[in-house]
Amino acid sequence: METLALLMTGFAVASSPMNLALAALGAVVGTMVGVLPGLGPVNAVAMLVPVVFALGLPPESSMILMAAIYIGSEYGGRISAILINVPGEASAVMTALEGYPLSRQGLAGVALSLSAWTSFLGSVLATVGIVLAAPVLSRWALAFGPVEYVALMIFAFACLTGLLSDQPIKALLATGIGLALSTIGIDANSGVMRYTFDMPNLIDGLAFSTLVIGLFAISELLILLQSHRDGVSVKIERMGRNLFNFKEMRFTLPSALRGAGIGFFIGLLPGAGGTVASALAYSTERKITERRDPEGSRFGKGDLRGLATVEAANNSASNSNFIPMLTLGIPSSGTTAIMLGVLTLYNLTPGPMLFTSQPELIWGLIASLFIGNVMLLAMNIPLVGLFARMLSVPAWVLVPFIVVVSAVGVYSGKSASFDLILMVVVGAAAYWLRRMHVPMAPLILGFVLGGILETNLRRALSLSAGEVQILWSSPIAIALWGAAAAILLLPRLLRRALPAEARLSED
Amino acid sequence: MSSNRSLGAMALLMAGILAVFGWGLVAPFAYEPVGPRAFPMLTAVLIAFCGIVLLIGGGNDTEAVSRRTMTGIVMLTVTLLIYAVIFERLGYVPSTFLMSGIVARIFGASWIQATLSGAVLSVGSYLLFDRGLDVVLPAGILGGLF
Repeated sequence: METLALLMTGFAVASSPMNLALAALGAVVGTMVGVLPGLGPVNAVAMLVPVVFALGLPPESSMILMAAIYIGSEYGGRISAILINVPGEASAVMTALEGYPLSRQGLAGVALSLSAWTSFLGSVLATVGIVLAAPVLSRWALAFGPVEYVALMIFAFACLTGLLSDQPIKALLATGIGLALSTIGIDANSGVMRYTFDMPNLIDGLAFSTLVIGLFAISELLILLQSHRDGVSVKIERMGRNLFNFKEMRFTLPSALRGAGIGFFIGLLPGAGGTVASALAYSTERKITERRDPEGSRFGKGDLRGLATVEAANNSASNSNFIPMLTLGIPSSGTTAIMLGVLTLYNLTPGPMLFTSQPELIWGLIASLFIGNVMLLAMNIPLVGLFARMLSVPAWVLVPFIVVVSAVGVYSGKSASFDLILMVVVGAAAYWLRRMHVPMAPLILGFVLGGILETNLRRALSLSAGEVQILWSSPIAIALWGAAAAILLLPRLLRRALPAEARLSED
Repeated sequence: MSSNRSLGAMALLMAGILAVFGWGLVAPFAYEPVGPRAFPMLTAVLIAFCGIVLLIGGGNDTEAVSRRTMTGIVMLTVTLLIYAVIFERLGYVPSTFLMSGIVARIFGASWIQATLSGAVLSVGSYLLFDRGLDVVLPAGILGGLF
């Protein structure tokens, strides 16, 4: 009952005119960015970090805006996957697998509307899950001291390296680079300058928004140029019938529900997120179908059930991602890591305490997920044709525009040329790393969590006067260390369960 | 050298930089058992470990890009770098006009398209951000005009 009252407070926050307008704006912008080939939720959220700050929004409003952009670009990502077979990000690869053949058969409209519906279903079910699970988990998380936090963060890094990438060593390297970058600047405990090289601009450390934009926006432009020059031209299929019918809905409902369930639990794991969830849901569904109904299976040639389950799983996981981020302060994807970084810019320490100290923020965000999803469904079914037209915007219009938004955003933070130059340098370095298949999500997670990890590590060792044994002195900590070890071994087993297409490193 | 080897070498170089410049990080007064040096050193060890594994493992999984693409990448990076440098000195509108025009050309626009889109984007975004959203942008050499 208490939860219900809190949820009502959340709805009151989320339905203030400004927050409603922000959610709608975020949904539109998110979908538009998501549609653009190559740009996914991470890029969309990253570009808007400084803009959110320039607008001077209160924390709950900026979280609502970013969440709407995040969820919106998940909706948008499927449009380019289905229409032109170009998944905007790794988690849409499975969508393209079934969706593109459908649109080749003249069923693009059906595929788009059905995937919007199952996305909605997955999102809403996961948000209900957040409402039920988050308060319980946050109460449990209050028992966490510095020792448990250290173990938890090691577990999160283990998840990221183990689950996300087919080359764990590169994910580990990315984590290390992120951790190293987080040490730049003045050390709060001792006042010692670390790696500032006498540059006054580095005393406060690397600016979060500069780093994020360099990593995700600027490097993306270089990748875009690579695919623009080496890629093939785009041809959009005809829409055909605009809406799925009742029979198709009933036919795909069990698949969508299964996908939503798988997505929810995968999304809980730090580091897993939409890519793993959609891949796992797809292969599960394919196995179930081929066993029960081998004749009717059209998997690989455009099966509505495959599309339904993938979209439900993907969106369910992106929503349940919020649970570890909100309750433990451990983001499970690049996008939630960025949102967490934004919270710290507001001087809010992410974690279980937020539930008691900032109930408006937490419950406003959760309520806005419901509202945002309804808006997205209402928008996506009638307006899909309009969004699809974004695909024909030529790159020479788009790219300068992205540069301008990025540069203005970075400049507005500190008004320094230094940060603009840093943005380009980071972008070029990130492009080089991404070409080597070094994933970016662990890097940003390492950067965001590096400070918290170091503080907790030093606090724990202060408690024990330097004895390292304290790090595995509590049952929770031991369990987390064990889980971290298990997860590093798990991918070898998972790899056999996942189809080859899933083995993309997410960036 | 394979791509994984060069990545590993870069990682070792980075670990070396972290270690060399981090070794002297000692607090003048230590209140706690772990000072400011330990964490950077742990990070350096982690990065060095990855570097060694990559160096030994080798392998190559970077897809080749054509020479034309590579020139494009370099041109785009240099353009953005110049943009960052002239942003404040020249002012927002002229620097954005130049950047936008060149970037549009790199992405295949004609001269007319590049000029027109550059003009619209630079002036339009200046009005939107500086006038509309109160983000202060450098006026630069066109200071008197707007």
